[in-house]
Amino acid sequence: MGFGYWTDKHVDAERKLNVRSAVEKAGADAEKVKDIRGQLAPLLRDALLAFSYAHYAPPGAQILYTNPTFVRSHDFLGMQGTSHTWRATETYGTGWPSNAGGRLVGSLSTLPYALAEAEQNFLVPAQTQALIWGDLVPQMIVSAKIPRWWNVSPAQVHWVGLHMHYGRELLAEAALDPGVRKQVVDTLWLYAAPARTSTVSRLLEQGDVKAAVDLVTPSELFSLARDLSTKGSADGSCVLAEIRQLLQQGITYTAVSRAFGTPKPTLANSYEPELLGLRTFPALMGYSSRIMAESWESNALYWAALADEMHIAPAWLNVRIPEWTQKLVEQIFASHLEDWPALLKSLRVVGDDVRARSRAAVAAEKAAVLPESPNR
Amino acid sequence: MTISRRGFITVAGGATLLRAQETQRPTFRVKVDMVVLSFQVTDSKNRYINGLKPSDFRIYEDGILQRISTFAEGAKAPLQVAEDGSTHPLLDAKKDALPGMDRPDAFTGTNVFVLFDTSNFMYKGFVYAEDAIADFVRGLDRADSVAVYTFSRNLSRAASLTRDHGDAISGLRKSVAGDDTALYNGLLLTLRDAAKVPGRKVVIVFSNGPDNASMVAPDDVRAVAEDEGIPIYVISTAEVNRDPVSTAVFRRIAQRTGGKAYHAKTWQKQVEAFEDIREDLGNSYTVTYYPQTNPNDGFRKISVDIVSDPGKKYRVHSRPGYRPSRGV
Repeated sequence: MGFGYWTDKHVDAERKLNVRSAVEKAGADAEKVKDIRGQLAPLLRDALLAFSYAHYAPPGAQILYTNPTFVRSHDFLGMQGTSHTWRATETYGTGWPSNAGGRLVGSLSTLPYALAEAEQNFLVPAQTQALIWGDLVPQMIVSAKIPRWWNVSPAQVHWVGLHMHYGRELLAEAALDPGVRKQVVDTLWLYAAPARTSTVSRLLEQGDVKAAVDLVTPSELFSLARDLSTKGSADGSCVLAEIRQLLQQGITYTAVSRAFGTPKPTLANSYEPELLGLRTFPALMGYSSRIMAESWESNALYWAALADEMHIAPAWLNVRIPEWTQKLVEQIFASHLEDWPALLKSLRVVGDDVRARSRAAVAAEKAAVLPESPNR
Repeated sequence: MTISRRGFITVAGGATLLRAQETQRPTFRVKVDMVVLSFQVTDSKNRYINGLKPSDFRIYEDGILQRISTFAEGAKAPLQVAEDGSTHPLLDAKKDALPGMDRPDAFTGTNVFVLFDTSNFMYKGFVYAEDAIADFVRGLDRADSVAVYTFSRNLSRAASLTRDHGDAISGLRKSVAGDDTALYNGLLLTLRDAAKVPGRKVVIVFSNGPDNASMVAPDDVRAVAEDEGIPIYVISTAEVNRDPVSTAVFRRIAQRTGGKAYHAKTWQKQVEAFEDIREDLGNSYTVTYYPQTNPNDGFRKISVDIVSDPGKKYRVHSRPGYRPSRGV
């Protein structure tokens, strides 16, 4: 049964309500005024709903700004004969040229994901649409919209940045020292797919550090650094010394995991962001899935390291991370369902672009402030 | 279309003030709306009437007479219309002679956005449709810019807006077919892109299938086109015409935005439809004006009268109106 035509009593009642006329008619009658207050309930419902929708509106959202009845049409009950009460939020009414546009049905329990799913097709891929798009993109959008970084400290952001540095440092050291290599490969084995770990090991043996680093995802780099930072002496590494110093100052892994982890409603049955340090999951019977998408934890960690490098205040991450995520999604050009390297490449493309723009902005600012040199 | 320009007028002067000081300076914003209106004039036999002058037209918004600021015919260079009715080339005018018109050169020619259906419905006629679009692009006036977008479930910018028609065709040739048909999603995004471009613009939709994946409703998209003043031409082919609702929607969208809807069953008819659109573009008049004070913040009805046609023999084909943008 399709959702092409429907009558919406809720919207109809709102259309018919004339508050001024009702108040004038009620006069000083307390009972009638009370009734009017009751009639305002649907409007209050819509206002509260609108706040929720706006709070989780994905980057590049279009439906919210185009369909004036999108929020009002939220249907908690669902179609006649079915019950969506307290069920997960679902999208209905797409692709009907005579209807009022798609709308969401069910409870608000999975609103962020439903909104992300509805809005994902408004992102414009730079290349021909990638196969990996379907399940992965809503999860990426949710991971950029649910966590908020208002209470994150610059030290926490720096801590993530230091871990990325230390991870790369370990890989470089592993190319020279077989002992460190064994430690690195053994640790990487816990987080990366076996085939890729073997390739990294081979590249390190050959001394090709750059190629090895290119194969390791930000979340793997972070986990590698985290695991090995507790072992050995910090004498040879100022980065490790700083990580330990920050630990002593009260930075905890739990807080960082909450700040730069991802929500995993399918895997962990919770929208609470956290880092699980999982290996990326394979496609199941030829299909991608939300579990597969939730196993990708690299984005927020990469953005945090980028923010640390660019000296971006943590509060700005609330704006920048959704923007960067939109660009990341638009740049993905995957050739198969588990093309994780395509994601990694897209992350790095966006990161390089941010760095280049930042450098250009700083240069322009300097040129504007510094007086023209007579020798130039 | 209304073009909004927010001017920033700062009270304090000085070229090299510190940023901290700059943030403390009061900023006054002035919003200027300019309406761009394109229309065609035809006689009773549907033949285009060319060569009319600005003084031949009276533009009304809700019955209020408007003063024409610029005037252009087809792809000819636009003219600035003075208060006394005299005209001179707009390109010779100073950059800021007209508020909201920072780039007078953008008003020469038309910005044509072609939106090409590359969904599953297109497997059969894909090559023919591509050829018809390529022929259309080749035949555009040199002053016209063209962008080729494709859509299935997502939009794809196959060729960004360019005056190099070869580039546009090259982008078109790289497109591939497959996936669901989210026509109205794609059309909305195309309109959003077109709205950012100054000057006259049109969107030409080539679609073979009824929409089966859009989240936005056709009439919400139509309202965006109407308000931005972007005519939509729709060429629909075999599949879509089996769905009477889609056919009616296409007609409504085209009519309300000042475009046209074509039902092209064969590839020959598709070529003819494109030819007709090109004729329309080449025989259009484009005027701009700054709306007179009007208390109506809702839909404003536009009408075009031809004073040199007292017998009312000519017909004017334009969009019926628009909703003014809300702002400062």
